[in-house]
Amino acid sequence: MWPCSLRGARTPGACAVLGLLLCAAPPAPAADWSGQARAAQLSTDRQWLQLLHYTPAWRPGGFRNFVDDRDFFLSPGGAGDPGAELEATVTALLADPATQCRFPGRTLWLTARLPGLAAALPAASCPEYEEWRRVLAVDRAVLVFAASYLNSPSSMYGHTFLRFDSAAAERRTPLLGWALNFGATIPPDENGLVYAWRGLVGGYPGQFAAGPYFEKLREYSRLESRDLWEYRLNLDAAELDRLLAHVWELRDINFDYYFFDENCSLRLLELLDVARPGHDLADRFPNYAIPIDTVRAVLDAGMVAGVGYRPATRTILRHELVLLDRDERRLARRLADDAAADPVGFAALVPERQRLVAEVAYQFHRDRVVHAPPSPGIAQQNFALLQLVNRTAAAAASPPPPWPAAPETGHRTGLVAFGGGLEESRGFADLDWRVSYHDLLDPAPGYPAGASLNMARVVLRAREGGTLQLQRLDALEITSLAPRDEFFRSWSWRVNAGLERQWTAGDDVLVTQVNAGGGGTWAPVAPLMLFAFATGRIEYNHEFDRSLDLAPGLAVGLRLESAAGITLASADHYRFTDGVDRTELALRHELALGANLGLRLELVRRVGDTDRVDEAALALRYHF
Amino acid sequence: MKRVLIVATFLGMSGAAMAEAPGGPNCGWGNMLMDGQSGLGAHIIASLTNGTSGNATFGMTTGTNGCSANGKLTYGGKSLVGAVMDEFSEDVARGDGEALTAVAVAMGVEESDRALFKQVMHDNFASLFPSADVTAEQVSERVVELMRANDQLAHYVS
Repeated sequence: MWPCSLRGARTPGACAVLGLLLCAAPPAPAADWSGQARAAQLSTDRQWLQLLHYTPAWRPGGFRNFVDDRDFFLSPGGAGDPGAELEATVTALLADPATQCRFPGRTLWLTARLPGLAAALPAASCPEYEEWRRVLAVDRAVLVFAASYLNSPSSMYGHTFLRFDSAAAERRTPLLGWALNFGATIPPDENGLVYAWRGLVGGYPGQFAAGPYFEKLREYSRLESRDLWEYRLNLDAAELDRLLAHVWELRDINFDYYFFDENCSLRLLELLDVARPGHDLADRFPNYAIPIDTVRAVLDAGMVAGVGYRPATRTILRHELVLLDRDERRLARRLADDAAADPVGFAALVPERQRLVAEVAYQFHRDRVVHAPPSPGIAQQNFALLQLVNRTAAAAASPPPPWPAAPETGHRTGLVAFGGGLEESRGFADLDWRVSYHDLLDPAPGYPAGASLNMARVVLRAREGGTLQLQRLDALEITSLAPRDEFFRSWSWRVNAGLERQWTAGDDVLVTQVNAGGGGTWAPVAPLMLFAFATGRIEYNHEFDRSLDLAPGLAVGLRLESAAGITLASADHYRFTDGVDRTELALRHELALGANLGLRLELVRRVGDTDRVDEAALALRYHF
Repeated sequence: MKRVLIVATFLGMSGAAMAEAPGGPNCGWGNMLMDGQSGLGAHIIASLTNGTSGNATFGMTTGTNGCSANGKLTYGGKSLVGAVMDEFSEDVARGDGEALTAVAVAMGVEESDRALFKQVMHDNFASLFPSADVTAEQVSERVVELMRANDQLAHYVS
């Protein structure tokens, strides 16, 4: 390109008059930076696309954008046109110093890519941004994974957010770290069901929000009883600079929010892609992003320097309860109800046990009232129990809960299984594919015990004689076995919706069904759970007199975890309103052959009014 | 002008949840942890969307360097003690814990003096928390008084 033509103010004639020297070494201000950006093909640069949150559109060569907010784009068509947005950005940067303050991330990237641009930009003072950076004084970023919360299926996939730790002396403790969370923005007083539906289908905008880490700890650790795993990232100063500059650009910016794909975890990967180019972490999740899988991606990219574990307050309480004997548990229970009770036997305990009992009583009281409206009675009891804790605190504290298997060490989230067996005397082979996530028999480490969450499962069956059929299709299956004891009066429940085969009047019928149950689980010893449910079932079956019928029923079972694997035995019985009875007895056992491999045996007997069908199957299950 | 907003929204981010936050005028043990919205439905959706109720904000602290003139780190005008009163009271009762450390850090207490700080607070639990309806302001003032009364800690609050 000719220097003269770059400097629009000067005519070629003027150049000739002024001589070659001036024209050959032009001062920068009037340079065609947009042209240079085009020449460097910056608009299709991976990093530009990431910085602007573009993703390829269905139409080849086109782009769409996760950002759903005009304030984020400087060009009217910027949401779908990286080139136009680049030109508009360069123009705005040159024209208005405020652009640098509004988009420090873009400024940083463009000035690095276009040498000389920095000098050509108007001087800008960005007090607000600079103050923010100075107060944060970030010297470390931490990726935090909030594990699932037993009995709360909506949390079962987990959640991730970032924490920024400060180098400033007066903030140098994790509690004062600054948490950055991406979530849907929900209008206050929204109706619960509307809320659920819109949360899933994308009816709410998503935004980044920030606050002190101790608030997050309250939310997750206390209110929701979710353990937190903290993955310290090894981002250096320049990477943190890029990350924070970009975070600032996303302030108050609306994104599309969908539960499955464009969710919190994917957004965080996009931030990390901006911080450390080259890994393209977000690209690995084109369809859906399960939070723990995004953690694994970050680990695989070598971005984690260390891991920390922060048990939820209830995890600590449960751990301490196990340390108590029966009498001590009774004392703690009594004290939790009335701190002034001075129950017989407490004074006789050695100081360490007194401390533990007082701690359990206090924690249990807190746990019990955590969702209760405030009242003077609760406050008084809380205070009295804290005084008790204080009085016994001279004795040594009991050790913290041991670390469970870290969630990323658990089996991967996709599943394919190949199996075969006999239905009565007829052989079959099964192909079982599940999008996500974990059932009661899958390898247990890294997942909550007694929780099952499965979405999108398909079983195809080839039967002896050459028929191939859809055996089962589960849209959703959730089971939550939460043990009850004198401290926790948890309910257990399950729900399942999908298609399955039922022998009806001698026919193998593919029925559509929804079933649910509620009841209790008891764990007399830790690895054994016994459960009982009252159940209800709605089934569409064209062989029925009433093709759509309702069946109340009962289910009981046990789950046992041992060195030999996990065993699940169950008995279900239900009766349709038109009189059809069904009983299913099942014994299932899985032997883990590795973190991602298991061998599962299933023995099932189904007894109906006219049919009795026994089935035995063995399957090799691989988590990918 | 925007800075005022940033400061003001720091605690506002959890919306309704902080309306009765620890450290507020009604601060006491009865109302330390609140759900913004109650009920199972709201809870489930909060987990589904990881939502922030009300206006999601982007706030960051306070004053000049996060510390007010007397060395107390403040959050939206409230002292840290008020913001973490619940956790702080537990840690004082026990004699250790992260909230106690955080308050020590916020008060500028050097690492070498933190064990002493914790000990002093713990030993004076009864005077820090004389009753169930003590307010965060009273506790904050008491923390400063206790530090002043200790030869080794006095210089942090002078």
